[in-house]
Amino acid sequence: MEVREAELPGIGMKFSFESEEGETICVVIHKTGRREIYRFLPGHDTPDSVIELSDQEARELGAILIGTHFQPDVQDTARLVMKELTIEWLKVPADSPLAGKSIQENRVRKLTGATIIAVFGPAKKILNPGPDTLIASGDTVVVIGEESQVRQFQERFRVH
Amino acid sequence: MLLQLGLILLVLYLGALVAHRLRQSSVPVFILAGLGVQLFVAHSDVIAFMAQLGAMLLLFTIGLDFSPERVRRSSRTIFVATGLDLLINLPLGILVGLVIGLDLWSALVLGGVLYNNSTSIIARLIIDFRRSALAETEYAVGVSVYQDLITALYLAVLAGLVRTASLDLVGILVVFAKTVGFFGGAFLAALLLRPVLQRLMAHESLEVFLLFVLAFMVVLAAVSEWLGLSGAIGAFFAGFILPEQEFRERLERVIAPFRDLFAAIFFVSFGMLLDLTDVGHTVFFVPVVLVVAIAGKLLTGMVIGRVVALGRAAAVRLGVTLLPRGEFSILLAGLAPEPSLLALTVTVVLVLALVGPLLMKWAS
Repeated sequence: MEVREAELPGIGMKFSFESEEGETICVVIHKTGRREIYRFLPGHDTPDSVIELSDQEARELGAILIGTHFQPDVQDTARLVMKELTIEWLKVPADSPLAGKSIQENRVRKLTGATIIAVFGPAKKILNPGPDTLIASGDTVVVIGEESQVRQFQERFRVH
Repeated sequence: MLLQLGLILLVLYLGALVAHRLRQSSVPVFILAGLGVQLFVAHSDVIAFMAQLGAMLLLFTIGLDFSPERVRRSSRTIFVATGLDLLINLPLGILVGLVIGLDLWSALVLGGVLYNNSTSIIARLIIDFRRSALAETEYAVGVSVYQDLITALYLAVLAGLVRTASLDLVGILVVFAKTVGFFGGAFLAALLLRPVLQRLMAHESLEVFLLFVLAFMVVLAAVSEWLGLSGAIGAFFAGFILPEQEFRERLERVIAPFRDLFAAIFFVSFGMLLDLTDVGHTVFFVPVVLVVAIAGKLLTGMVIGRVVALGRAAAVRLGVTLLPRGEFSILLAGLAPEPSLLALTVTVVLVLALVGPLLMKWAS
């Protein structure tokens, strides 16, 4: 499934993909936090319906959709993987090798197998950071990986 | 002075209240408020200075919307659409200016006035009419954003020329070279200084951050003024250079209150300077200019629609979305030697602000 991203200056971001039935589903995340979900029927350039959600409603809906409350029995393998995966929020102390360097410089994934999926700091919020993203001491990194990988990450980079 | 400022702010408060209630852009309302205010408050240097700060902050935030990264990221079709829009509307505006008997300077200004769309009014219309995800919206907002970049350069050249008041080729070339040089320098600086600026701006104190950003903006505005360009252009380039992506929320939080306050004073000051007899003089021209303003953008929508393969209905909607003009047009109009052009522009902006939503409803 290919998700197309487009920036809408002054409005926000637009994500769209085509469903198996040929419908186009567009999600617009407004700068204000409001979300809109547009459903376009095949061959139409105006939406069949629009759903509007507040920031909080959208998060709740997202959690439901991703299966936080109830996991259907459709994909056993996917579920097994989910069980072994862990996500950790870790604060980077000044003596950590991570501090002051980019993700690439530390070869995070190569050395530990874990992946940094977000970096938060007093003035930044980087989701899906690129290899050249700088991490400063005091930042919080969100790391995803198998349990052993995340543990290795914590030990190697002295973050707990 | 305090009493005058108090009265102005009171009127602005009421204007903002009305604009919010009517779900209209507050820009035209503030100008109308200025028309009323001029009856009991005289315009002064202090107000003019605050208005200048407002213009600078407006252009600064417009500049923030750009970065070399964004220019690189934008799709090629957006640039094609931007080019088409420029080629259709700028000459059309200049032409209609000459036809209604303006001098060349004022006609050049009118071209810019009719060319530039209000990015903020367009964004608001799109959100209100739930058009965010439609195919033409990417073009509407993309074009209106790049228009601002082009208009800023156009404004810089025109302002420089009006100031030197010479129409000889050398004068034009010098101003043009200065503008392009300044812009090129700003672009290079944006790329080279990025890591340094990023470090300076990442300071944890909001106070340090605010003062750094404002100092940066005002110093660049001063350099621009020293070069004989307008201060507002310097502020625009300052916004262009500063890395906005990581600091967007912080910048918005810190700058928005200042921008909203001083921009309101900027618009009310325009209203206060507006001469009602000038408005009277322009009455005959308004319909002509309005027809051109509307026809030009509808045509633009059709042409862009044809080139980038939008459906017919989407092309019409694109044209209609591009109707509103706004703050940049008024800023430009203030440059024209012909005082009636400001009155004309304000009327056009007002009418289009009212007509825009109606036509949007019609187009859907």
